[in-house]
Amino acid sequence: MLIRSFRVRFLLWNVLLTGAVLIAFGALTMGLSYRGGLERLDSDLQENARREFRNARHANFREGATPLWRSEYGGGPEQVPLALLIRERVSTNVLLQSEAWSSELSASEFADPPLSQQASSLENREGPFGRRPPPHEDREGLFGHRPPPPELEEGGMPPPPFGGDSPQPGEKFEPPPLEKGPFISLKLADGDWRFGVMGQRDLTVVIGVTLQPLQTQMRQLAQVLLIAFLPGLLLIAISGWILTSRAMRPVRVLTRTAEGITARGLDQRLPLTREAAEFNRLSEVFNQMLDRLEKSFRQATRFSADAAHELKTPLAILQGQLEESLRDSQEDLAHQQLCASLLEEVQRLKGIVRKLLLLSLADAGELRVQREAVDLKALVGNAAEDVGILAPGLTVDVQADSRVTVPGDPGLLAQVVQNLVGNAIKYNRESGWIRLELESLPDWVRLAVSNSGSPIPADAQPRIFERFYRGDSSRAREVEGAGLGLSLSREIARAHGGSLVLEQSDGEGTTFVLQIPLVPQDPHV
Amino acid sequence: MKILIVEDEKKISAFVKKGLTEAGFTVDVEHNGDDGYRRATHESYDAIVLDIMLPGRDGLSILSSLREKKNPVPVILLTARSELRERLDGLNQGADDYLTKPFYMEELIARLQAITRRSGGEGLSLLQVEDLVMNLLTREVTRGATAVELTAREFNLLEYLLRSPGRVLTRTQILEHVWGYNFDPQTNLVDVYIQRVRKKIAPNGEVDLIETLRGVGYRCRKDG
Repeated sequence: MLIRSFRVRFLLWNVLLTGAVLIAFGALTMGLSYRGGLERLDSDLQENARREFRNARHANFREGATPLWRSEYGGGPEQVPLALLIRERVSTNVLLQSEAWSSELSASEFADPPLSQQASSLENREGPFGRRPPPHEDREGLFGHRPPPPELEEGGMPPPPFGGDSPQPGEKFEPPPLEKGPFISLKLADGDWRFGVMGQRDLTVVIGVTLQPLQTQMRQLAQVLLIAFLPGLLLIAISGWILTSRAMRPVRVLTRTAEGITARGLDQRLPLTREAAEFNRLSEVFNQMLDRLEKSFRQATRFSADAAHELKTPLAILQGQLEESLRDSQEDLAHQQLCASLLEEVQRLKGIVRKLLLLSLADAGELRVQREAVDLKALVGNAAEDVGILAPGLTVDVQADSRVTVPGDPGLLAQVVQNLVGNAIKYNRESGWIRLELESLPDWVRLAVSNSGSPIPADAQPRIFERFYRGDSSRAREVEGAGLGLSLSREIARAHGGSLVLEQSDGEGTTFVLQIPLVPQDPHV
Repeated sequence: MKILIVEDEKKISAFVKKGLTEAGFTVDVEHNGDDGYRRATHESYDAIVLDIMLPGRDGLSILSSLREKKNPVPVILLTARSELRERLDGLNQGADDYLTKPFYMEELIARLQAITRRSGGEGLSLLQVEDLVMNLLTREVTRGATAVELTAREFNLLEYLLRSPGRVLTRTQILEHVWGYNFDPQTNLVDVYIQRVRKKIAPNGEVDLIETLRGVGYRCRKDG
């Protein structure tokens, strides 16, 4: 779908882009906080693994005990069970498997973490830790080395990151390093779990915890983001609408002014504004264009007026001398015929010049009407009488109100009526009809001239009032006239404050309607 | 009948002078506004034909000065340019009639006869050729003892012919006079109307007063 309003398009783009940015931002936030949560979880898993190693190496390693999750994770007093599996590195002998260890899981899925460089180097550097037995030493001995940390016996409190293995006062002791294996997320029957594999010397711990609390947190975060997203978008849409309407205001002013500029009002200019300097350039360019347009329009108008005027004097001489010559040659019929024929052509030229002059006056907005009471009914009656003579084959039907006079110029209005009736004769079919309806309305006089000609093609209808337009060329050749008649008639109607329109043209006939106001009005363009 | 023509275009003033002289007027010609005004105020004329565009004083200023001096001489204005406005100005300033260039001499003669009749009185309101009499005031027409009924157009057509007996009028001339400004000449209208008038003014088979000149126009028979 094509959206035509710049404003709506701008708004849609605005909302779309802002929405995309917000969504990207939300997704990034979610992603980052999920990753942060996982990292925290992983380091907690590591701590728990450390603790479980310690427990395993101490005496309080009890088969079947339920190791609990010791972390802030889960956010509350409720602690979640840990899935825990401790096995020997080499023999893969399972030493401990917690209750939460799902039956779906098999210990072999989790490969032992590689021995870290640090761990192997520590093994080689036995010197400083002389009292520590090597990893392949007897496990009992190993366990016997270290007493359980006191905090663990109190229970509940998670071990401080490295505090669990903190050396005794005065003793230089470092906890055995953890070899970290991969942390992976697994989908189990009861939801997603996070597992880590860690090794410490001869033991490997697979430790896992449910991801549900983290996922709940993420859902809550998503809800918060979503709740902020929609009103935010709405706010942006509203502010975008207000902004565009403010930004479009100078354009609206320009449009309104430009609308008022017509061919008759070319002297108007767009105002320059102070608050929207960016648009001033546009106004200036527009005004310069109007300057040029006005100048060339005035030149063209003056040219046709001057040309028409200049033509009149030679025409007057031509006509006067032909008339004189006609009078002088009283008995020379051939010469008289020549003069009469030339006079007829001069008459035709006069008609064209007069029409051009009137049209150029109309273009310059100076076709002013000197009004007197014009008996339209008499004009129409005369025209109907002429039809009977010019085209005896046509049926003429005149319907007129009893007395119809309008304020107007008798010569010009007669021209309009003659033109309309003349066209109704020209563009008619043989033994067709012409109907003249003259009615006096409260404010207007309406003259409808209809005939039975073939309909004017739809694509030609808007053009018939154009100058020198002659309809289709095949028809035009049969008919006399320069194609100025309808154009001039419309100008005359407008100069009287009235109108001339093609009301219909179809199989039932063609109707032109002339309306002249009963109260003199200023011409409307 | 003494007429002053003030017209700067010499060819126009020449054929106007010739035409009016042939029609029985006495004609003086001036070619600029100042001379024209001097002549109009110092001599007495039955009518003045005044061009509007003149070197020196223009026609409208001459007209208004004459009217300020309470000079009632009938004036016909010749206009060329924006005919509507000049006509309006001219009539407002006391012109009796106006003609737009190009005009027919026969039309000017008809207008001059009309305005001098207006100022001249009853005797000129009758036109007569043989036993056809036309009363321009009562608009009655009689052929011998028989009254003839004419429509307005037929009356105007007959009047135009009777004003210039013995002179050829072309169909376009008649059309312009009787039908007014005609932008698209339909000269066969004239033929039909001439036939009608011919029939009406010879109700009892009298002599045909209207002569047809094929391809030219019509001529009213001259007395004698």
